[in-house]
Amino acid sequence: MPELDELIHQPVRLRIMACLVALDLDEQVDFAYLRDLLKLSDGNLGAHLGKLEAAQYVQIEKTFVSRKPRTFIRASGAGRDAFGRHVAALRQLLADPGHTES
Amino acid sequence: MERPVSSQEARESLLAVDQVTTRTRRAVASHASADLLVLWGSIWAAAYVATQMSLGKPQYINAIWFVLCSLGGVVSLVLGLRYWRAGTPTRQPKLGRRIFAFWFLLGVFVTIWVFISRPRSGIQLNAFLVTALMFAYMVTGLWTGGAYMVWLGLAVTFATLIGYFLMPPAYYCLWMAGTGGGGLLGTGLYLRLRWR
Repeated sequence: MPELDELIHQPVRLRIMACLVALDLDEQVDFAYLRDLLKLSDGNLGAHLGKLEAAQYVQIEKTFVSRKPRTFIRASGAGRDAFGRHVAALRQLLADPGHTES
Repeated sequence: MERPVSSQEARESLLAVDQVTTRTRRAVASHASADLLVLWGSIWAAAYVATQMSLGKPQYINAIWFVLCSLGGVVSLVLGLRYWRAGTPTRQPKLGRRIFAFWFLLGVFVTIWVFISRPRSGIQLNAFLVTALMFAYMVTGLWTGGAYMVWLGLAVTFATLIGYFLMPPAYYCLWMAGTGGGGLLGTGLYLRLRWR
């Protein structure tokens, strides 16, 4: 039975992972674009990305595009697996007739 | 996870996942394609209407398509440069290269096929090119997950087949201006209004 992942379950990190997993396997998203899409502040997004990176759920690449610094983020294989297990656990929890509202 | 999760919390979490997933796919897919669809829909519609008004004057028709398609190519390049400077929201180097290679190869092969098959009329050549473009557009949609590209490609292909096989040749260009040009233009406007 899949288990809930405490790190991913936090609402902001759940939305970050949902966004990254919605992209293709080798697709990276720009930091500023992700911030605007999820309506977060720079600091808030950076802090949550730091935790996800420490768990090796995301990979962060700092680079230069047209001589401007840019940061791109993608979900790692481990991150995709963990997110998939977490969502499966949430669905199982809802499907479980023994689970009560609390 | 030590803290118990209620059904309500699980439901809200799954709803948030669905909403973010949908919003992400739409936002990424609509970034540049909407403007290009509006541009090429307008060019197709204008070229078909101008062709309809110039029936019987093949020298004008060739010039109309050459000028308008060249204009479309230049504006597409300018738009692409603008997006590149502003920074694309996502990068997918491998897929981008594969899509570019696919369109390049298709261009080469379509040219070969045109020389081999030697279409008997302008309408036949046009129907062949439009369906080939829509085929490439649908394949690109399948690769990138852009379902609207697949549906638009199918719709324009279907309209082209109706125009080619069922419409009187004298009305083919008007039909294609509405369905082909209008289809691209309408989808582009829809994306701009709905997804931004």
